[in-house]
Amino acid sequence: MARREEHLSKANMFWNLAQTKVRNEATPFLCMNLIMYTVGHLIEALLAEHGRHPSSPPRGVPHGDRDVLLRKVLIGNGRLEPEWGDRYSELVARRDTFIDGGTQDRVFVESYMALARPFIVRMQSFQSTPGQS
Amino acid sequence: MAGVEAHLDLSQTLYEDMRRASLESEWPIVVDAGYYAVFHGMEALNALECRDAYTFADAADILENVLAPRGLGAEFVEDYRYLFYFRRGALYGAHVPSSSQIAEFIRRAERCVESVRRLMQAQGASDVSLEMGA
Repeated sequence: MARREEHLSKANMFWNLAQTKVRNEATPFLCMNLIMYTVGHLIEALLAEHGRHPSSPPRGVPHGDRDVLLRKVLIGNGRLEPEWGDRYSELVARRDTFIDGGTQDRVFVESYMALARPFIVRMQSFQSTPGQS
Repeated sequence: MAGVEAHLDLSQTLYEDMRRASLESEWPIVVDAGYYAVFHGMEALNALECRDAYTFADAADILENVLAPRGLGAEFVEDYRYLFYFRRGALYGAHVPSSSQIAEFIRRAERCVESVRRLMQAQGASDVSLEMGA
């Protein structure tokens, strides 16, 4: 399991890559993933401050448990405002790894970035002051 | 649910992204694009027979019980597991892969993509035969 500093380091790496790749109009599927990896690491950095780490179903990914812990630990104790729980759920719901709704395009990526950016900025505000809002 | 062509197109695009990223030392792109190039290749094979994976667990189950016995084989299964858990550890977890680990990842991803292409061609050939005989 990664520690807070490792999650923050990866969040910064993915966020830099996401912004560059979106600007350079890279493959939308990859841009979407880079944005989600940024969000995931920022949430897990905050959770790590509370000694929590999401689990994953067998052969799966941790999105569902991350959602539960975000709401229970970070929103439940007032660290994050309630609206960010629904924002995370929406980002997970719109991310289509299995391309059920067709392959992502440029318009999708721009709307996905617009949805994620305020949430990322809010979580980045915790980086310099762990344990405080 | 996507059709064969959508999965194949995305698989090919991501495969090229992996190759390009390896030249630019962008290891997170190598890992993400390489894994999903293989995954969507498998989904293309599934789409040929009206199957869809809803989860990664589905994909692993279908691979082990349908695609491997029908031609992808045991080496592909081992490579796929390697790619899947490498991606989880490197992208979701704390690990930062070395250049030799990335080279191994690429080698296995390339081998998987080539296996999918071979099986896709064989499958396509038999479909054509079926249509002609009908």
